[in-house]
Amino acid sequence: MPENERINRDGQISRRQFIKGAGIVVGSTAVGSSVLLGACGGEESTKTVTVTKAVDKYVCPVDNMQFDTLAALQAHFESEHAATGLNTIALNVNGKEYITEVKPYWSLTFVLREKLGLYGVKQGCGVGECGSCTVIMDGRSVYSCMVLAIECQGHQIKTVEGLSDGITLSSLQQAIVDNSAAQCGFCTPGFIMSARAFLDDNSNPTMDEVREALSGHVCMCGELKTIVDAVHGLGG
Amino acid sequence: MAQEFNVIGKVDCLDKQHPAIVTGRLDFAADHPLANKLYAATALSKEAHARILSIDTSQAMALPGVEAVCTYEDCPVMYQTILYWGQEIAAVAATDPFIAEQAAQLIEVEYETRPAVINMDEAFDPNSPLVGVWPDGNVQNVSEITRGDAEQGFNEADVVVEADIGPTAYYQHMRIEPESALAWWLEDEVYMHLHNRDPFGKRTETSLLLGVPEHKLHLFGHGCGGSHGSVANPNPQVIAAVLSKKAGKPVEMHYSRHADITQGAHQHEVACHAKLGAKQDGTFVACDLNAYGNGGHNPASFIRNMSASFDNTFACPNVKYVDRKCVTNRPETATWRNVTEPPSATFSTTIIDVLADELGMNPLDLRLKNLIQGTPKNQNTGVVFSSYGIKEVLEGLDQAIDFRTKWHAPGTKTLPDGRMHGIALTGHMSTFCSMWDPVGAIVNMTKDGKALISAGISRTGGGTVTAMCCIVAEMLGLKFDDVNVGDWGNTDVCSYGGMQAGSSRTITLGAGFYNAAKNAKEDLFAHAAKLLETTPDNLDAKDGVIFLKNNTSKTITHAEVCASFSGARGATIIGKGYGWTPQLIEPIGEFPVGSPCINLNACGTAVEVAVDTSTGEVEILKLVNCDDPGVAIFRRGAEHQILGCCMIQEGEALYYEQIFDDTTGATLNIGFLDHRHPTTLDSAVDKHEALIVETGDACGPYGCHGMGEPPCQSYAVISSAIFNAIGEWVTEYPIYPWRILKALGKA
Repeated sequence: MPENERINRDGQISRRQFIKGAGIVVGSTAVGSSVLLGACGGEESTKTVTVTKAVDKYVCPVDNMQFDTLAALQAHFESEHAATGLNTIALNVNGKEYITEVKPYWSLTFVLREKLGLYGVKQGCGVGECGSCTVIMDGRSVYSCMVLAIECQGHQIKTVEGLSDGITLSSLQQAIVDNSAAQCGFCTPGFIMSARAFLDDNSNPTMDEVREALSGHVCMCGELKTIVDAVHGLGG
Repeated sequence: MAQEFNVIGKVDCLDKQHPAIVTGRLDFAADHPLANKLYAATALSKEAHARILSIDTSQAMALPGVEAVCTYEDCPVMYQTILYWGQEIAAVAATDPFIAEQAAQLIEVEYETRPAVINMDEAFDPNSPLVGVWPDGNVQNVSEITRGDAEQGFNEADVVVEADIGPTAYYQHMRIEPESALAWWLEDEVYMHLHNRDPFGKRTETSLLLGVPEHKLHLFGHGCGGSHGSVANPNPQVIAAVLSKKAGKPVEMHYSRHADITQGAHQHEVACHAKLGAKQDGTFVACDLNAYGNGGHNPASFIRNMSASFDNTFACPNVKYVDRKCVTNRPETATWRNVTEPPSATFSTTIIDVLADELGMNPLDLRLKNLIQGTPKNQNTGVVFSSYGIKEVLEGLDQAIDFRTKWHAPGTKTLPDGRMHGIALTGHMSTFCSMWDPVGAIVNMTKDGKALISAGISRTGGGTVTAMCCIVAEMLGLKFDDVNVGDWGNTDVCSYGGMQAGSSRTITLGAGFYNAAKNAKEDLFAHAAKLLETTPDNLDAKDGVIFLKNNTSKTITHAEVCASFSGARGATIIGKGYGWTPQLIEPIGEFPVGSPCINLNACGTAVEVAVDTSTGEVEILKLVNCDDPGVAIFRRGAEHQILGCCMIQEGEALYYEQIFDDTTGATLNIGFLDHRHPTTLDSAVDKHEALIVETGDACGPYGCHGMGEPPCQSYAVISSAIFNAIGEWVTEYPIYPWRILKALGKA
């Protein structure tokens, strides 16, 4: 199970729940995503922590000041950053450097789609449950709906658009085509990005390992068997 | 099949849409950058039954970034009367979707609440409060079918069995793309990008709702992230259009999962009491079915004809079928994948297996014994079936799972690890494969002898577009790669392509493309005949080459003919075609060509399970799903429809359920984590097998009919396999482990 989903299941937290619970968008969203980015950073200990237990400090996503309570962070954000509006950031996506303006509470999904035009990133739920928005960040698959764009500076992001040169499909994409492992196609880019990150870590997986690696995704058309077969067939 | 094909049914034909899907290029409704685009969000009712007394949008409008708000007072798809928890009451358009969501929460509503009826048993109680605006009560649409004399039949039966079956689960489609639309109101014209399976139908509906004439509505169908019977209502595009008119900017309405699970269509729940009588040798003599369905708040839901699976498959001289449908304060039910037939097949599968157990008879033999004999036809109307491949399906399943060898008496086989082994098999004729309305299709040949095809329908999966390419290539004598998908789903330039529903496109739209390609071929061959100095009827074509039937060495390529036809700047060859109505194009028995007919699809499933009687857990050991598409036009697509249905059958039997609070009507399990779907860890993905048998169809183009939905209807076979394992029936769905333990007296 991907770390981001594990956190969501264990911590029973989602960006939208946080937004509703806190009433203030900007302050609250920083909490969940800080932990997620920690998980992306590669520390093994962050793999299984739950959000509620892991957060002992609330970190401002703009200036990194730490607070003991969410309310204190919210108050700080309102007083210090509420008027800042758009922030100019640099995002490294598919090997290119993009300079774009974002608001502090915008999800990475939203920015990739609406500001960078990378519509291969799909939003199926927006709360870290379906996997359609999966991108690779620093080599690991993450739900981009659970990550704030403003925190992604300095990270290497890859979307499905970055897997091929526009002329020839990558081996993974070709395997999906050859196995006819898609129907409506909405969930497919997310599956592909998780599979890519997984195969980069484990080039010769067992069938069970593939099934576990892709278990953070939902496909309603029922291509689970063929996607697993396609990814497993690339091993070895 | 006797007919040899060059393209149809070939395994090397791959889905035309897949390269666009795996690169992220296939565009869905919300995948369109537009300057100054606004994002909409909806406010949802917190009551299940109420009337809105007042609605205050001032706080929402005051939020920076909000540019427009609409409510029931100015949006024709919202209502002052609330009939279910989660009903849309207002919508907001803002500069980003997060502001829109926040603003939607700021809309204040004052309700006059009314008593809500949430569950089916309450609704059928004549003393329950009225669910909605229907003064004639909560029980709607009672229908009855009788044939022979059921009472007399039961008197003559040697064995009579009865069973209470269901209720089946009430659940949401949960396709992965939420309902979406992008609308832009410019002066008196409206442009709309749709996540919808029926662009032309939506054009008419939207025209009526918005008061904009159809020639000023420009609708573009796109990729459709799963339909499964949903995405039929016009709400997203109408709301987006209303907000766009107010704001003067394009508006994208991409439902939140919360909104989608309450606004989208749902599968209804059904419970029934069934009674089946037979002679000692297993011959059916009488059947009685009393079915009760929960249609949610809309009485127009599709609960009907719960006897169809049984009655279209098995001969029975005396029947009485009664369907009753109630309304409740739940979200709408509408078409789900295969609509009425999964619960219909559930009734049929279970009562036949109950009878087989009572008779001590192999369930396969019992089914084979009772198939309709002679010319297959509807037992009530006498209209002929254009195909009837059920015997081949049942025998195919028997071979695939070795049913006769493995079947055993219920509760008698223990596996080495202590779990109980169960096996079951079922099969029916499904009505979901049939020819609907005549459609229009266009084939546009290029100067280099290839073809582009166009139709006004969404891209709900690549199966339809690829199957159409196969039909056109076969008719024109082109290679599969030489036919490509052109403009698709654009109501301005395409002809009416019908609704992507009822598994009807392969046969219906296929008939349109069959005729369109035939029309193009007439011009192609007429010009080729001139060049070859012969007559068109002497010509044939294959792999892009036209040749004389009696002298295959005298040839000319499609490219040469098309280039000559068009000249340097001339017109290209265009073929247009319309589909046909359901009538035989080949005779069957006493029915000649031209006879009205019914298209049916034979489908069935066989499954082996292991049941842990200490935990109630069920493991699928093998699940073989079989379908008869008549002829598999796009073989890969057909196989994958069947495989997909394996997972859906697991879901319907073991997972899917939307849970409602009994008092408030609130959905308690919003989202994919709680409204569960099998994942790669849950589903027995490596135990699924797809099996195709082809028996032809005397109505469809090249002998085909549709086949997308029928393979998902046999999920009750899992219940029968559990019975075969433990010797106790569990027919309430989903079959949670606790229900099995309860049946075993352990919970």
